[in-house]
Amino acid sequence: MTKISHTTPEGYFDSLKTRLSRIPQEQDVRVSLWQKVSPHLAIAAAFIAIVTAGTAILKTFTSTGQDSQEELYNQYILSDLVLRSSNDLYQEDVFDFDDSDSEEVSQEDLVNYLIESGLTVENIEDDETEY
Amino acid sequence: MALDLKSACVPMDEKTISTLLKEGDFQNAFQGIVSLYSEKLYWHVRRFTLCHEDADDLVQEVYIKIWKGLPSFMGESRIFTWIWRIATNEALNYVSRAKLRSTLSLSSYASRADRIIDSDPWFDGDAAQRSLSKALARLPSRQRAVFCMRYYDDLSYEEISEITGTSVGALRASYHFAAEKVKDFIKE
Repeated sequence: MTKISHTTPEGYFDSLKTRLSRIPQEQDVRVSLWQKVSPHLAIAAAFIAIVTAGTAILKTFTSTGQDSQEELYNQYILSDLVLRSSNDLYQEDVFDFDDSDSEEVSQEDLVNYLIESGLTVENIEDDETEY
Repeated sequence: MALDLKSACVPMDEKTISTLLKEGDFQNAFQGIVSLYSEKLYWHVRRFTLCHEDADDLVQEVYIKIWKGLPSFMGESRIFTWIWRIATNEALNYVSRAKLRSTLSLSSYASRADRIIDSDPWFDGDAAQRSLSKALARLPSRQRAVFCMRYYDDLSYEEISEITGTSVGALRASYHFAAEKVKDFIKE
């Protein structure tokens, strides 16, 4: 707030809030049927999805329970024999450099800026530039 | 969906407002947005309008848009991001209209801005802050928006990226150029 270099009339923000609070009474907003029923439909769809998934999982475990246990056991025994590729090693988040707070402007930032603004290097300093 | 007048006075957080929106209680959600953001939003648009009266009008226009847009708000982004996107677009449109008016009256937007800043009865900053206000008025509109959101609103580049739909790298460069121009103007 120390960066604010202006004041407002006495009691302005209270008066502003009161005026803004009246907007719903003054402005008519039409709510479509879809907007009214969509939350209920979403809940119904989620319920159906949970029941379907639950049934499918239940069927899988009850029918092949013995087989899947053996398969899991074999996987565990053989797990040390599976080689990891060099790509897997590089994809691990061992080096998690977070440079999001850096203020440095990189070459790539400049390239992005030029691409997104459609500018050439020459007119960066032009005051009419829109980015 | 009757208006609960209590909610107009009780400050809400964004989570409560989201819940109200999901329940379709737009009126109380709107009251929450008014109590939570009206003051911040005023200062956000004030940096573009330069004078209090225009900022007052613009805040009301922004809130009318928010009210009309609430039923179609899908919750894909934060409410804050959505509101700031509306406000920033409205502010940029305001600046475009002001620049057009200046062109039609055969004067420059910068000189008109200088006059408004110098005669503003609600300005209570020092000479450096006056100079900063004038420098901001000379920035290209989008650079000005990025600078204001970063410097005054303390938003991260990621948040500004969500609001403007511009990449973080481009925003960082945009802020850098804006800051350089502001420094050059203040030095002069």
